[in-house]
Amino acid sequence: MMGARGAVWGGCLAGVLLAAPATAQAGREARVELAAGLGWRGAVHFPSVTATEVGPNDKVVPVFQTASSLDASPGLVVNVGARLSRRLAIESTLSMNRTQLSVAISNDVEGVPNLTASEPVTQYLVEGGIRLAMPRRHRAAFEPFLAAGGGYLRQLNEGQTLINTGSSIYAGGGAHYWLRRGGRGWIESSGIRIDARVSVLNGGVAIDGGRHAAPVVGVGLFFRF
Amino acid sequence: MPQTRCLRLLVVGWCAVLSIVAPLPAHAYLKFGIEVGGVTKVLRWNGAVPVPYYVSHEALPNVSAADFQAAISRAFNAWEVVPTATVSYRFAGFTSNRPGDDDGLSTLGFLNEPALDQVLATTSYLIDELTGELLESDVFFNSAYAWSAGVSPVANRWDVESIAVHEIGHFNGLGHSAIGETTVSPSGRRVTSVGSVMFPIAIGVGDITARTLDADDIAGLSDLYPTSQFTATTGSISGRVLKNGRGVFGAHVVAFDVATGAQVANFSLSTAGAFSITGLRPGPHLLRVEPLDDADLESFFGGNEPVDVQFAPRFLSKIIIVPRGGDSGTVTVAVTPR
Repeated sequence: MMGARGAVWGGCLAGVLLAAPATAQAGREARVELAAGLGWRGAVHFPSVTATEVGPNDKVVPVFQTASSLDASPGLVVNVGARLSRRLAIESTLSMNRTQLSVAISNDVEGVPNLTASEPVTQYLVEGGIRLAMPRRHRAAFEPFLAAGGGYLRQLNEGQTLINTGSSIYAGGGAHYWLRRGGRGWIESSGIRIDARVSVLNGGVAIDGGRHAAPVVGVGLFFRF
Repeated sequence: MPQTRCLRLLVVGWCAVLSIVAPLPAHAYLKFGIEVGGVTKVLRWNGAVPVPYYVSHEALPNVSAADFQAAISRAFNAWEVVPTATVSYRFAGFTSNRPGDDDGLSTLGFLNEPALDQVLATTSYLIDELTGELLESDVFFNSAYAWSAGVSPVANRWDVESIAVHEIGHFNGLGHSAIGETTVSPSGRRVTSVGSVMFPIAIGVGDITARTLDADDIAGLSDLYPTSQFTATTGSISGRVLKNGRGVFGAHVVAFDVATGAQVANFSLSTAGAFSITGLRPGPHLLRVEPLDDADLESFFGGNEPVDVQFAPRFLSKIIIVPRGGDSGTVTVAVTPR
């Protein structure tokens, strides 16, 4: 866990260090990108677990069944990136989601009505990765890109009685759409950033302790300096 | 130095139970205690570790003393290997004394008690009335029934090892668990399933299910004889069961581990409806609350407690996250009359 955390903070630090010289290079192509927006993370379904007892002749008798999931949820996303070359950039991402751990209970042996029990969970992801811009025509409005990386997962239940940590990896792509270019101020350009990823979370509140993939999409504004 | 007063105080058995010691409130699992000067003392072994036990010479036509001792040894081992409990045992030898004699020897053996209808075995205690310390614990197996003591079960015979595992749970100071289901027919109550070897009714002849401890049994033993690791690495859920705003006494509260499927339970043991379930793995749990209707109430309580069974079973709609080494905080479960 410490190794994952170290890698992420290392990624953030690299972003800051690389940002400094960029601000001193006025008049040249922007090297730092800041983006913020809304995200949506898809649901994660965990293996179902059945409460059982043992009957005569070692027969397993179900008492009730459960199906657990981490619900789909909206969230906030902030990206800080630094260009290493014309097409390659590193970036750090902080995302926060308010989601719910849900357990659907069914088929109770004594006829208790089906029910879904839940517990709010606040999820933080600190990730670092690379972003590769795809070839495009000069000054085209759209710039598609590929992205991949990983990071540190921290999940807190409502009462914060237990802190769950884990790791993440992601891969996907997206696009920048410029609304404004060549400004005279310290913002060189700005526009809309769209992201679509597959995110794999490892650990955390996952009841089986395993890896679980979920789709993640995001849209926000970006600013380049 | 307090004077030790010995008293044979409690008889618990499988299938029929007499209990004259109050179950302890606000502790995980059902364990027993006595009140000394307004302070409740838990019944447990505090003295020599490992606890010495003796096996009666008496044999049956189909069960030699050696086979009986071997089955008893395996049953003790089932409890001794629990890694989160400190209690251990030592076979001290065969004896001609009988189980139930006040002789300072914890003796397990056969007695012919045909008058004890539907009682397969019984555990009795000799305790220090001042401290609650167990001084002697005897287990008799009713030879009015047919028994087998081999490693393999025998059809139409009760398995000594399985019944011994249950009785040794009492030997340790544990009461009955209510994790199990029964149906009632004109011929009597029939067990359909069990989730703890400490369920008060045995499944049937030839069955060896009770040779293996369940999560509830392990939590109970570990609660009585905890290792430091157990206390530090498990957590608890505590709260109240209410009906029409008033506490429910005797509600069966089961904590279900969403990740492992383990079930650990206790009862609401005060008129305020307070319960506490300890020994839980940290993480998300469901709570299921049900009336105590799968065995005779006398299997769990002394008969004078105001046990309420007039409510519908239900699940709590909130997932309880058990912390490591701590408690969930007060959880309130409101049940409705039926």
